[in-house]
Amino acid sequence: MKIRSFAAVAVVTGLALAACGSDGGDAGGGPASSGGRANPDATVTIGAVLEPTSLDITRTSGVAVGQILLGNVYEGLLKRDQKGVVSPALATAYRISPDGRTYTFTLAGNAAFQDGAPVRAADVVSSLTQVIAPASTNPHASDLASISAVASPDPHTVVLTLKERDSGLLFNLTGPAGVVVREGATGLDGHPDGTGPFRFDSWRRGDSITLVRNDAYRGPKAKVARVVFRYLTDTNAQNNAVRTGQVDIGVISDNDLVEAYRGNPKFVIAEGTTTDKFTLAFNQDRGPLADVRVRHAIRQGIDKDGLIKVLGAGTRIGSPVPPLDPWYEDLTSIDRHDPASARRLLAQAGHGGGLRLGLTIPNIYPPSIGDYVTSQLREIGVTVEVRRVEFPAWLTGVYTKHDYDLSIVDHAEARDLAFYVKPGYYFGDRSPQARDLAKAGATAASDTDRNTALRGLARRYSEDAIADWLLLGKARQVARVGVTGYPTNNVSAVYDLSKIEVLKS
Amino acid sequence: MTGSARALARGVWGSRSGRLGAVLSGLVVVAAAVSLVWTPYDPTRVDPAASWAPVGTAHWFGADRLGRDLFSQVLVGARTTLVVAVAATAIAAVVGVGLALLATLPPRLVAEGVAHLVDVLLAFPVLLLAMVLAAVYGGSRWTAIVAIGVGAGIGLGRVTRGEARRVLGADYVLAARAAGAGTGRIVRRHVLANIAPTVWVQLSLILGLSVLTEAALSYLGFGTAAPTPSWGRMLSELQPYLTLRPLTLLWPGLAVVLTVLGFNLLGDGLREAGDPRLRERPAEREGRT
Repeated sequence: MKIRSFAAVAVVTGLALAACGSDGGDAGGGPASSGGRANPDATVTIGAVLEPTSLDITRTSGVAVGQILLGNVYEGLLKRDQKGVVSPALATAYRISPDGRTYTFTLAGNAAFQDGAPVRAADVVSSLTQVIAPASTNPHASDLASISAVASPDPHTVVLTLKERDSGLLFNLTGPAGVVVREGATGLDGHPDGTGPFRFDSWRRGDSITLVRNDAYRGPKAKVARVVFRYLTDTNAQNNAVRTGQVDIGVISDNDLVEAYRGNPKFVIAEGTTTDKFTLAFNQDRGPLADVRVRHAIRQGIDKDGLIKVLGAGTRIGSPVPPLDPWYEDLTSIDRHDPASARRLLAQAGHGGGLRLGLTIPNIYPPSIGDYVTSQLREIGVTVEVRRVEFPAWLTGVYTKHDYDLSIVDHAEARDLAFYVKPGYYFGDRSPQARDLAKAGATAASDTDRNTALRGLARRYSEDAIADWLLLGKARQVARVGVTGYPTNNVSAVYDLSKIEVLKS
Repeated sequence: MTGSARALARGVWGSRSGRLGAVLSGLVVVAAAVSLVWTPYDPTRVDPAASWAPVGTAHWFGADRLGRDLFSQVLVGARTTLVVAVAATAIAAVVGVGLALLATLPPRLVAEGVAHLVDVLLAFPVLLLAMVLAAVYGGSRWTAIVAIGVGAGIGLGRVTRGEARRVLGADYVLAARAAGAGTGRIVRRHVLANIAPTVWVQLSLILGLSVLTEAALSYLGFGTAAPTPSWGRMLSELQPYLTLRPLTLLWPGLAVVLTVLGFNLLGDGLREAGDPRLRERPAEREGRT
């Protein structure tokens, strides 16, 4: 019970973080490398939006901590790139048994923690065992729920035994749940100790976190000496910091502010894709939204293309699957914008005389999205009463108590299709068919089978109108010319710092 | 309208600042009244095609990012502002005069206690009070009204108490008491009548203060809730575009400035009209030159 509620917080805090336009994330997606004129002693300052609450990656929920530490200070057995492609990290190779229930990893021989201790199989075993333990406090424990046992037959080999096939295991091992920490390590909040290309240096709470290059790293060394994440929650402060050179790279989500940099020879606008799915969730468990016709009507009443035009950025998605996922299918033709049809559906459902619904939105999002939806729904006869609440109030009211009609939140997690069949999730598909599809996807023996099942699941969600997916966010950063190699996408909750370079000026 | 009120109105109109104040305040009232029956557009209707529409015949003040007409928003915002300002000022009047009487009429120990309490409460900023109320009851127009009204009322009580004490110590009150007048009659006939000029001037200043505070609260997200248009919220929503689209911020900003200016000038006019010394000074000066 405790684990579940913990995991719940984790999921949604993640949403919050990415919501405000967190760091981008497409390694090497930035402008091409300079080739030789880079300054290895440089410091790069990155403007970030939301500061983590703790640096203990094994206990802290949310994507903020992962973006700083994952792949930079900490590594797992495997890593993923900006497109979700999995490759070896602390493990140099892995083998999967034909029944898909035994994974054997061979560890890199020369890996070491930043305090000098070599990485042993025992460290991996203890790290993963802690995650899957019944009393686990890891907020991402459910990522590795399919693992039943972790063992090391010799100091260079780790064997994972699964309860059943898990088509998502390799991907999940690259996430925060798969991080390897030293056996018996303590005080990870104040002093993260990993195996990655950067070492943690200092944290000035409320201001910045500094990482320095790990010169003892076994692989290619980082190309800058120091990286500072500066926390600037306010859009204008972030914008000013970029403009005045206080940060080298800044996250600017507002289209008009970004456009102001276009044509400026001192700055580069880096655009990429995200997994930020702005989701209008329907509470099917009570009131008028239990009627599928009302849900379809609301979806048909909102012109998503208009919203994207107004916001100046974003991609239309018809389901919670972003185009980069292998099981993506264009479902935007389900419930096209059609106010007349929406009104007919409402009339059929007995709401021809109008309908009143509440809409709860965390106040970390700009009011424009709620204002847009309210205005659009008024045109089909639905009066929306907007409640803007603090994020914790959203967590308690909407997420935990399910006390809402409509809710808008950014679901930022990658590959989160299975959340929406979880019993007790704040919205979703309660049907056994959906549960079966999710199960089939998770335990599929081949990628093709997995993709077929998950494609079917996404279609079900959309046809059953469990929610409306308003748009997929766009990652936008503005960087000083002369800084290259930074990630531009934000699809993996990882911000790879190892390829960032600063040109000698 | 009683004779004295008419004379007061004439006096206000007679002073230059009073006349300007009356015109500006009148403009706000007219804008608010017009918004009840007509606005060029529904002020909350989004229109992607009109996003950042320029100032022109289609949109007199232009449109915001969501394509909402700024002129319509400013008109309806006048209504929001006026409702908050008038309601908050009414609360302030009741609270302020009530506190002033409580701090003068009862036995000395109680009165002094109330007076000290008022001094302590005075140190509590109105904005903070509003934020506390908003945190407990949720940000809305009503929390703003109550917070501004109570906050400004305490200040009014502090100012009015001195006046009330002065009146209560006057010979005519002593005479009235000797003639057998009860406390109620003295308060009605003498105290309220004599502190009225001070109170009116203070209330006109509180009107201006309420407009500013409401704008500040909405700007901070504690005031008028979306989607009801409010000048403060417009400013807060448009502020990121200050350097890009400065004209859009001009309208709500100008509306706040002119309204506050109008109420304050009206207060000046009231003071001049109600205070014989101020009224006669220009004449004296003329006599000298």
